[in-house]
Amino acid sequence: MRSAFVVLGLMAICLTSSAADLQFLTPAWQGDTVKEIRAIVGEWNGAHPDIQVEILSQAWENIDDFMLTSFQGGQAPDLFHQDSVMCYEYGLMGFVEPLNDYLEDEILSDIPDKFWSGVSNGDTIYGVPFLQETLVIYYNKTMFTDAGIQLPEDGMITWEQLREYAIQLTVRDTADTVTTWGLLSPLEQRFWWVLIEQNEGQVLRQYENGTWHVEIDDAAREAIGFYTDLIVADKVMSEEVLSYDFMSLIQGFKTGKYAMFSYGCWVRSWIARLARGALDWGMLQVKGPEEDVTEADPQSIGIYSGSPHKDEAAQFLEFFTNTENQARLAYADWLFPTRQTALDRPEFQSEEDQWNVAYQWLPYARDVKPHMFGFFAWEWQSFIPQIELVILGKQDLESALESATVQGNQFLRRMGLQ
Amino acid sequence: MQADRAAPRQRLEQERRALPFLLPALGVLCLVSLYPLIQGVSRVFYAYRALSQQNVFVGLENFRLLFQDPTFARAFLNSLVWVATSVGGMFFLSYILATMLNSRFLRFRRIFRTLTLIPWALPGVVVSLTWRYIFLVNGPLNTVLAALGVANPPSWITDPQLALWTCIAANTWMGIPFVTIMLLAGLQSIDRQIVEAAAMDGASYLQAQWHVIMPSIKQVVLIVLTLQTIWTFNSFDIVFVLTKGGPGSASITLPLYAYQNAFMYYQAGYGAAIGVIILLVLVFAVVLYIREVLQ
Repeated sequence: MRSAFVVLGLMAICLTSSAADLQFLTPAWQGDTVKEIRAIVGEWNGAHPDIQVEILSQAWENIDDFMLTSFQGGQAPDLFHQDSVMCYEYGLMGFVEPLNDYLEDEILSDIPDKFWSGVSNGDTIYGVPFLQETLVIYYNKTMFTDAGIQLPEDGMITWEQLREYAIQLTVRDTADTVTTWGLLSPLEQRFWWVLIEQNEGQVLRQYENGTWHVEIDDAAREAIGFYTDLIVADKVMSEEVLSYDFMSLIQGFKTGKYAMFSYGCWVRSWIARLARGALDWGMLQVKGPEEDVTEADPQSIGIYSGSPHKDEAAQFLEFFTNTENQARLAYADWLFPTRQTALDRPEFQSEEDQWNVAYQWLPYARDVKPHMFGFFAWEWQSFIPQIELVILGKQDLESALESATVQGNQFLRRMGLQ
Repeated sequence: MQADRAAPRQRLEQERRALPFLLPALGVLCLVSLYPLIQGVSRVFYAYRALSQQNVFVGLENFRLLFQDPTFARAFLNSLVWVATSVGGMFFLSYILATMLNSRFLRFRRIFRTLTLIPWALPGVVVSLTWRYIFLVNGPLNTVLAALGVANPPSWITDPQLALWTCIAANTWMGIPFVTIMLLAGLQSIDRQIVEAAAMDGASYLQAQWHVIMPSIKQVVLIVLTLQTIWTFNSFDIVFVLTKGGPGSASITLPLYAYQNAFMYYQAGYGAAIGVIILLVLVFAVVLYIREVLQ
């Protein structure tokens, strides 16, 4: 009996004095990024034998389910890398540790407020934003030259120009089958949120009492209509926006099936790799009728509120998101860091692989989606299904937006947001 | 006479002795089956309120909302179509296949039987991803159709009229091996002389199938149909990977809608309410299955 107590005592001492083992979950998947994350974590582990970090991987497609079930089960990793908006949502649900006490003034002032507001509820900060991007239109330069299209020098085009170019570049054979589509803007990208913001439109409105309501104004209707008309009226964009797969899209761009497509600026890595030498390509930015704005899609890192090693996790977080490491991670991922000191580095403005082109539009980049808890849930449950029906020609836009309003408000009531 | 009276007492004594040995297994069963069931059902009475960030007791509110929800109605209807056509298709095709595999005239029967099992050995997600690739607008199926002269091959997974049927086709393909092997086992147990006697009495091929073979394998058929109904109703992976229930809610099924509510929309209570509806529907099938097994 006595020996059992001795063993238990020794085990307790070992447990309390042993090194903190942190788990860090990341959905990073591009080879260079994964390598860079491993390198940074390796450097940390080498310098901190008492705080060892283990990397866990999870695909972007499953990370929401994984995190939610891990939180509910009390088994979440100590640190996690996610979209900024998810850090905010998890934070509101109490799963993420507020970081205010851990963050130095230096990092708070180095990252613009537009990124902090995306991970905050009032003054409470739930994550450290560390990556951003610009949503761009990739275009086939040869096709543009052959069609005699003169582009503005700054690469910024109006909605009407985008439409005109897409019409001009769409090619049909004698049987009226499209052989080249002018544009492909995958539904998954939800380009209409950029257009709505550019047109100063509104789909979700928050009342003074804090409740949210679906109220789609005329500016928003015009923006959504611009997107869907490219498919149903102008017929310059394929219904494939619903079912595209990424590799077919890149291959299609390379082989001339698509003259333009919209995606985040990180896709340059794939185009550069698959089409180097075989394709002359460039990037465009759409400028709005009312405001020039593009999607930043910021990514952040948060700390699980149930972690037994929050202080150690905060130390690692500080190291992982310092200027040097942010720059390394962003460069490897073909994205941009959120820290101004990291962004000032020359590699982000180099002409190689058109870093400078994507860089010049960063001032317009912000999170364009409404900052509402449960935004994605509302969007996928009641908004996107209606847009899909318009794209497929099964419903006109007005009735679809009417249904989206009725069903959306029902859903918000169910969510307790009204 | 005395021995007859002693037998029940002896059996009771044996069962009493066996009980302690069964208790650990019963305990594990309760832990992994009963506890989650109670947890799940208890969630039905709660809803997450985003503004107050709290789970609040709402009584039967989730059920009331469920019956006003057009997506739930669509999911329920789709589930019925999904089960009826998938299981029907599986049975019809499997019966033909099993009959062929049971034929004395078929050479390399063992090889064919082994090949039949392949779809069943593949994980559902792998099967679904493969079918997704096949059904893409520019996928192999439409390439073949275009080569055959079809001017505008359909968008199998994005056309609201076709999406559910595309899922059904993939699910049917995946379920065929199990049904075939079960039916084949049933067919092999039939005495060939009975079939030959029916033929000598003037029964046509179809009459022999309907009046002789079918009644002989009735038990197997009922068990297979009941099991497939339960599995198909609960099936999730194919619809999730192929269409995610879309476009719109064209191909949504109850298990997928329950999952979406619980894990995507933060509505665990609402998802649990859908789960309870699924449970109630399946209880009928389970009762049927138990009756058949006991017979």
